[in-house]
Amino acid sequence: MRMWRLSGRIALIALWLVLAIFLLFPFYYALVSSLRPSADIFHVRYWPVAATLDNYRAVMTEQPFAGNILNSVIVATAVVLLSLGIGTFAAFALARVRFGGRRLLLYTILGVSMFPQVAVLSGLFEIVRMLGLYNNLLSLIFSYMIFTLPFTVWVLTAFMRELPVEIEEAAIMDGATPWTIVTRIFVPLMGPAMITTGLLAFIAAWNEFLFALSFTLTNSQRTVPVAIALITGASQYELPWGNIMAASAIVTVPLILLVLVFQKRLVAGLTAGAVKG
Amino acid sequence: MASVYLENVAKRFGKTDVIKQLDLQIESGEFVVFVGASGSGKSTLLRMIAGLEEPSSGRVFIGDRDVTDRAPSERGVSMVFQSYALYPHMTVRENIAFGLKLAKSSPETIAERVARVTHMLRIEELLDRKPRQLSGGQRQRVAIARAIVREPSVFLFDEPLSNLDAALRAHTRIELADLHRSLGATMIYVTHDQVEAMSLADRMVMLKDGHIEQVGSPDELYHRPATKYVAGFLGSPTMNFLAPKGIDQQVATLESGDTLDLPACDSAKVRTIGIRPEDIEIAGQGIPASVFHVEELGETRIVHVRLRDGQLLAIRAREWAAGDAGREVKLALPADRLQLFDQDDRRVEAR
Repeated sequence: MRMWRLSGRIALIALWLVLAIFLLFPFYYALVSSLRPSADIFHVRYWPVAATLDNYRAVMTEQPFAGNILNSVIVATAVVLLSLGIGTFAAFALARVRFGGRRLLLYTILGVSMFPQVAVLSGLFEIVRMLGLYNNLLSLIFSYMIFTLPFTVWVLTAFMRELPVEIEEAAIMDGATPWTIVTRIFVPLMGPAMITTGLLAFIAAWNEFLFALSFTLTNSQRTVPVAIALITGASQYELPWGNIMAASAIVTVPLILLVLVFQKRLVAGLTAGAVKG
Repeated sequence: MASVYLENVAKRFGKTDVIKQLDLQIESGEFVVFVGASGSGKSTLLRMIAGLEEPSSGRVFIGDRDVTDRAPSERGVSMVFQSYALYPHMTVRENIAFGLKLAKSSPETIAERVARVTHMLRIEELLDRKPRQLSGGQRQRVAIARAIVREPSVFLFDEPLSNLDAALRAHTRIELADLHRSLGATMIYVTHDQVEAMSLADRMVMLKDGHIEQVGSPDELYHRPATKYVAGFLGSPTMNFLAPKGIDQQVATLESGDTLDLPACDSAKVRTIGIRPEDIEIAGQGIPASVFHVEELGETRIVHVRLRDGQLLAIRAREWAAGDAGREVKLALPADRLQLFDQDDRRVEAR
């Protein structure tokens, strides 16, 4: 028995180790590489020797990388706020208001998110140009909503359906308008779900590459993923890996911070069903 | 305080008639209980008064006002829900004050009214707690406080006690009756529990399949049921029903061959004879039966007997014990205690 328990524990630890290496090693290696001088970068090393912040300095000074980060923050934040705002009210209608074609509408919304980005790219490009948003952050905010809104609406609708109808009816008896019901009753109750979906939307917007590449032209309008991809060295034959690694490390930090801050609520949102009154 | 009048209201969901066209007048200050099995339409009726459901046809009046097209909050009614439906993220104080805040009452008014109702329901010390920190009974009180604080003219209760345990239910029942006395407000109460209905109601409205079977005082419904359904719904154990083989003048012959004297009535119409378990007497002479089981209920016993044709009857009796199973007895069914019903299951009045 004891042997079994021991070997079971060892197996579990081994599993965790494999998972940790698999998930964390790429990031760890990027981190290590970012701290090494450029000349040293093609030697395989697993921990930083003669660590230096030169790469970080370079990436911030040789191009408007701070501006790129700001762009990403603006775009991702706007996308999250808009998605949650629109998603909440859409979810209220889809979950709580009886109207014809509700189911069809719900599946259409789901259907929209199934098209690959490449398939809608050219059409979207025309729309962006028509609206005069080319090389403008607004074009990114607009286009990211295509994939963040459907899942926001779906998750929030599912969550809102779980909220007891009697609570809504009690609010109606108390004289609450639909606006009041959503803002004063439902939104507070859906906190965990909103944080979860908001965070997923943020990550999706933060990491998006294709639209960002297609709809921006100048370096000042670029978001982080595109900026990193387009980091160039002194000549076209040199790829400044050190700078790229440093940039990658910088842009990962906000995501990690966000997840850590909302960790508790995030788990609650992923696992919890409805609020039991 | 206000009267409630339902004029020819009906409710259809798709093709199903949940409420068939009905008229109902509820007097100001009355405690009226809608009672019926699930699916009888009693909740739908209540929700139409509340304004949570729109009648498919007909009008709803509260006081002298036609409120059919008014929003729930404009009707001067408030409602206590079965699940209490407290707002989980608000404290007790915020829960109670929510409606007043939406109505833009002044902070002083709100504070004063909240203080009054919480004192009345003895929940002052709970004011800063959240609903999840309360017991079922406490939640119930908060829900009632939230209903009272808006000082409505009509209170609606949708099975408010069904989530409480038995002891608390009996207790809260008395408190509700007391509340009705002290507020003097019109109260409309929905339940499927006959004990609750009988104990609280000034008048009971018995519903079945979307229509009214009978309206009357609990006493009337119990002792003079208008239909066989009402007779069978009220009382526990339920009323015994016998189908006579033949009736000659005032004497009915049962399937078992025994005869039974009927009260003076239009006896030719009688198809069913009912008698409550407490009205049957185990006597020295009468209809022969054998005891096959005795239920001990503490304060009383239910004696189950079988007539010679196999018909089962339940009798409420004080004597008799489990050991009496198998004994042969004689039953007396007093004529003035019989409930008679015709072929449409409607009451046949004794003259």
